[in-house]
Amino acid sequence: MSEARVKFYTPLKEKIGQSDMIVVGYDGTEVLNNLRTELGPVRAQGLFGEDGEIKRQYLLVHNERTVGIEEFKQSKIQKGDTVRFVLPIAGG
Amino acid sequence: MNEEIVSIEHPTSLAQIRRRFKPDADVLVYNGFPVSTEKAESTIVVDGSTVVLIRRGQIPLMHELEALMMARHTPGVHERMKNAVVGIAGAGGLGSHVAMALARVGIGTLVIADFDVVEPSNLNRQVFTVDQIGEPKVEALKDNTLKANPFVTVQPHCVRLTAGNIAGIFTDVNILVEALDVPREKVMLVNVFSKHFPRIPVVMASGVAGYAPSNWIKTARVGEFLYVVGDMKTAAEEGQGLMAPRVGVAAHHQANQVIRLILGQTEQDGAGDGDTE
Repeated sequence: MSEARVKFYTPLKEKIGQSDMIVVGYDGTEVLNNLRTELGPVRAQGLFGEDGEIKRQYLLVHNERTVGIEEFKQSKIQKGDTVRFVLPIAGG
Repeated sequence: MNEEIVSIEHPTSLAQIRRRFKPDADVLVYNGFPVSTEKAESTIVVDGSTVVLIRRGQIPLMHELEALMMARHTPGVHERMKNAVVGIAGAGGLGSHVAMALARVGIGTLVIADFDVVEPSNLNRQVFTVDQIGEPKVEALKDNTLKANPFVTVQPHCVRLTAGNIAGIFTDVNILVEALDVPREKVMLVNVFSKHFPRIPVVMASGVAGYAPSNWIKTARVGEFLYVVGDMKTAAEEGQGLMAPRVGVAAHHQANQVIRLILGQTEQDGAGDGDTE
């Protein structure tokens, strides 16, 4: 079964209460749907908007490569894949 | 010796070279490290060495200046810096410090993009001066970097970065530094740039505000070609401003990561920063 290790960085890590979790899914769309379900409505708020989509302020790194959310959704997932969410915060 | 190849008989001491080529020199740098005039008597110069002789306070000839400026570099570093092209997206607190640091180490070309002008509230953290208020930041920064190192080529772009112009502006860079302020613009920049240039490293920043401990700021590798500098939690927001020291710490983390990448250092080399999940 396809599954990905999803990693969360600060401050998302604190909001979710853990640094990573294993999420099953055939492709990126399934992984995101299952991730939202596994997090539950309260914990998912930090990562997902009211429309159920990943909030646009996140960067997504799939297998060490920065990809857009739409590209990730269409990506096939293989066991051992990693998905990282990075939340850039204001200041520069 | 001062940017020229010279032949000497062996053995020759550093002091003998000084007496022969620049007897009034009072700063002697041998392979990147200063040597006292006393120790120079017993320092035998070996083949392939770099010797820099400086008369303190004297403005050198232009053809000597670059070598003298880089005299304290680790040997072999300068040429690789000189060949590098680094993009800097944003010329504010982070970008202006990154540009100055990279200019001082002799990066060959800096491609800097920012749409804004210098205004008084920038001066608490950005490398601009009162007389530059009102100038486009990229032009003011070009002036400042060239004052520090006239051998750097600066390509200023006074534009707001958009999904449509990022690839064109940064098409030639070896590394991109993200130095923007607004999170959504940071994400847009990194996503668009990475889509066009997936194997060009990006060094971004996140969490540089306030006066929280400096040591919270670190460099994390979060993807093969993506590095994040900052504490990843201290945002610029109401009640928490941006100030020179912490912004400068982060900017110099970014600049150092750029240098490490140019020199082929990766975190797997065990040189320190590493993954910080």
